[in-house]
Amino acid sequence: MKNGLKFLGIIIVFTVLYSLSVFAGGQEEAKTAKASGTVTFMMWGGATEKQVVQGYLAPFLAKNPDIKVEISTPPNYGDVLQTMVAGGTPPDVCYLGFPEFVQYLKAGQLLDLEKYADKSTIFNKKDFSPAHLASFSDRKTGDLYSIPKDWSTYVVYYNDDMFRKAGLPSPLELYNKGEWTMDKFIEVAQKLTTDKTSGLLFNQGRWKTFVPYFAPNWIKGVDKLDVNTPQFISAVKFVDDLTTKYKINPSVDQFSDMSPADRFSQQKGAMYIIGRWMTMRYIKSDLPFKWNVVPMPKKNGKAHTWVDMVGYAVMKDAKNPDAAWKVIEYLTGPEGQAAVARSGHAIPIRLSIANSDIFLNSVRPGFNNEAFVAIKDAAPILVFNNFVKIFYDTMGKELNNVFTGRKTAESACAELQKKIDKLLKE
Amino acid sequence: MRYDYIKIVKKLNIGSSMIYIMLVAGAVFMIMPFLWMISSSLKDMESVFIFPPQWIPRKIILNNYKQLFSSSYYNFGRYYINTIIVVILRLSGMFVFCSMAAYGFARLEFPLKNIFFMIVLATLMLPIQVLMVPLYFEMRYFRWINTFRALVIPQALGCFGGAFSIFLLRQYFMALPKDLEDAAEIDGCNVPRTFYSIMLPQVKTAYAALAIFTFQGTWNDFVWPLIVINNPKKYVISLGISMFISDRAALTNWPLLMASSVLALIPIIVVFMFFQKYFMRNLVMSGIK
Amino acid sequence: MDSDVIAVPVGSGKTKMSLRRKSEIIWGFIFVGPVVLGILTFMAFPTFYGFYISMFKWSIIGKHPLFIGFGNYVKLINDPDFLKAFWNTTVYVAGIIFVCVPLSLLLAYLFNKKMPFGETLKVAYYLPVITMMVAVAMVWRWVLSTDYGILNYFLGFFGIKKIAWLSDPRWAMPGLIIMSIWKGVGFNMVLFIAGLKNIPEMYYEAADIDGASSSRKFFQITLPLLSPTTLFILLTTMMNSFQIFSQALILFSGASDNSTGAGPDNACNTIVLYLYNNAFKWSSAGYAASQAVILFLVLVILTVVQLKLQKRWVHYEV
Repeated sequence: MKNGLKFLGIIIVFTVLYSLSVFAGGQEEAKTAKASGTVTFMMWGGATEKQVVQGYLAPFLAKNPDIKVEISTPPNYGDVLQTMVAGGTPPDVCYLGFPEFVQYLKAGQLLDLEKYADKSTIFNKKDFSPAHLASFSDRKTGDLYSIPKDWSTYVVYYNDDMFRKAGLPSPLELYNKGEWTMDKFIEVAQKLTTDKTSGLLFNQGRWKTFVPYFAPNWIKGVDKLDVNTPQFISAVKFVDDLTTKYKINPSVDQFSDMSPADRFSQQKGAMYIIGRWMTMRYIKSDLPFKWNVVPMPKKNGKAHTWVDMVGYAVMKDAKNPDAAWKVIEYLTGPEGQAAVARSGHAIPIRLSIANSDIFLNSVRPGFNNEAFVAIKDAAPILVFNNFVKIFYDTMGKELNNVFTGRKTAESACAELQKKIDKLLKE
Repeated sequence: MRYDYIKIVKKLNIGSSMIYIMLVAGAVFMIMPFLWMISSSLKDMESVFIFPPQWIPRKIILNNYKQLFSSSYYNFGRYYINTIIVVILRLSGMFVFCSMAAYGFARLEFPLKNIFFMIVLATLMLPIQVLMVPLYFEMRYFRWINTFRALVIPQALGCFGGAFSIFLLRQYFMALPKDLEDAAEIDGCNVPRTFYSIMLPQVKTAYAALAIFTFQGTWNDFVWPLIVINNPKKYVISLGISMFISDRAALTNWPLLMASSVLALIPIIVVFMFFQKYFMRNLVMSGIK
Repeated sequence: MDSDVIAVPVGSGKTKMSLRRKSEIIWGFIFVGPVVLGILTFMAFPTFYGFYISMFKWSIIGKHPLFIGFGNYVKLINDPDFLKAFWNTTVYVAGIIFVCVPLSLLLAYLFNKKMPFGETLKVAYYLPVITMMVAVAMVWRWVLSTDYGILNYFLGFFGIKKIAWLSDPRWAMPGLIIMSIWKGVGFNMVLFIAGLKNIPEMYYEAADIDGASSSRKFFQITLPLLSPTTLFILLTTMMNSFQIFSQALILFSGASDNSTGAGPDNACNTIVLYLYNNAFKWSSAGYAASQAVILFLVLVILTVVQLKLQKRWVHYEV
């Protein structure tokens, strides 16, 4: 009996200690609500980008000793952010891309930044492209709900050595002569395609890059998408033709063995259509061949490209919105943007910086930074950005059937239109 | 007779050698990804995805490992310590509470026993993806965000996979002969003493297996710490490793990711080899006199 | 002395039993209490919340959930993507249970004998279990590659044509199953080894004296005495495989950013993956919750059935 009591006693004490801790206080971040204090900053990109951003912020923190910025880069950014917002403890500043921005705006979770923007001396609306600001504003009120932090366009990266070896003029030479057309693009790609290398590397999942060439009006405002038109179908067919008809692009199956990015760096492809962020990786990798970039080729005298944008947002329930704004203001101001330009990470959003030497001469001498800002007209694409993710995923899945040869472009697009109309009704 | 004996031995040898060879071949097939991990951890970014895979890197870069510990950006020393603390606390809690529960379900009779057991089992049937958000609410309510309590107490009390241990131990306890308890009773033991002195020692192999699994489960636990810890100072190893993953697959720092993963794997392998000793001997029936 | 034990008066016997019974009941609750309380505290709220939310149309971050009763469930029954995911998951579970579990048993049985480097070999078989899924997926993208993969290479020896494991919708799920078997066999193997080691040598010795053959020993001694472990493995493997989530996601992401991880033509879409996409990517948390409820009910039914059937084949005490 004694032993039993002892045993019972130990168990009870253990249990009580454990359960007491349930009601003991936990630890939480300091709650200050002044334009100072701690700002929680949530971003994606892992440890690499975190270092870059810490570099951007260093001068700001030196000048503002009463503000501290705690940066976190959680994996599964989207899930974590949603959980935190739903739980009422969002970070003060966070990254928002499209379509995430649309999702949060529709849910009413974003803080209206218009009044901050008006009062700010550093923030200058005129130094931003109107299209960029429009995409981060509320359709009806025109108020800004997020400040674009940078943007990226798709360009054509190319392996200069391969062109030289084949005795062909480089895309940059063609561009400077005004001969960089779609037909010429396909022609050189075909010449550079051997059994070991492909003339082009283009992930079929990024099909939207080519749509404006064929169907510039496929987006009719924020509540209509026309995908079952002959123009759109020819766009889809074109992307598929890159692999099947012109045979310059590997297939979806082949990309699952090795991605386009890796193929380019291992000299298995002559040209690679992708965005600005790849520059950062390739610069770090110190590729063993000469490479440069040119804008997308022209068709019928016009060139189009895809635009990716990310913005800084402040959530309604953020604890420290004033200090959060100060951080955003700096990062999108001239100093912060100059740092962005130098890092080669993305294109600065401030027009003055993007068009200045700080950006144009960045990365390394002779690098054609101008290619990223060459194509000015990106408005229709930005309107497309105002659909939530399920539209993108539905389109991607359905069109993937075409690129893997399971369906024809016609039947896929017809099916797709039905699905989209159904989604629009919900 | 002797000739037959030799024949049988020869037959056995050929048969067993065949089997042995296949086991070894299978083992080689099993460790391939691990070899790829080690080889990638010694490469530079661009060589990782050469296809077909390049098993021996052309240039070996030991700096990857040095970076993990020396650079002030990668706080791996701290992540290791955090994880070890969590493991010790969680496993000791589980050892106490889950064993007791398992014994109770196996050998004691009380009303509602089966319903309670189903409740325990039910925790294994709920995908955590759907529980994530309300769990976050709860942890906020208890003010357990960013604490070790959140990583230790629920599991010790059978949630999030603790039921696994309870269920396994229950099976083992149920397989023990009923006579053990009767004998203990005659000796004058009450329930807890029986449990502690007599039943526990009988299920050592189960504990060995559980030690391996719960150590590994805690060490590699990712989703729960992701929900509950957002302060980088309190990260555990799984979160630390995932920081090398970028949302853009092409920007993931593969060599460092692989190097940190290899480092994280070593303790698990050590624990596994240590507890394997308990698999070495068959248990001899004891306790009944 | 003997008569005291045998001939116990009925009256006092009953009182004795009650006291003992009472004590057992109290101890029962004490032993099981902390765990049950813990589970009710931590899991009850989220579970009921999940059931509750399944009746709403709601985005996780939205502020105005819309009550739609059983609308989500009606939508589920008519949703081809969900039905496909359900089917895929069932196929997957069957593949694991009917191939992986017997394989682990075989391995455990083989490893039960002494052999040179036995411990090292066991570690090798356990390594896939603990290796990061990312590394596993990378190597398996090579193994399953149409043109360069070693699986097709070996199949070639038997005159089988190259199979596009990763991009052919008919073969994607088998490929995923093969990879999962490879990854999970070590786990159950360890459990079976523990179970085998728990069978006292005595029984085998007795059987040897009787001149029993290996297969008789296996079926009459090993399997029955292993059955508690087997039940455990079957149930936990079933529950685990029904919830498969990240394997397909990583295997089919093809190093590209735009993937829902469901494989070619949704061939590897599984319940939890579909649920996850609905909750976190497509802002339909209520719909996702209804899927979780369905999954839960399916698992409960399957478990109860198995537990009831166990009386037929599981032997607990000797």
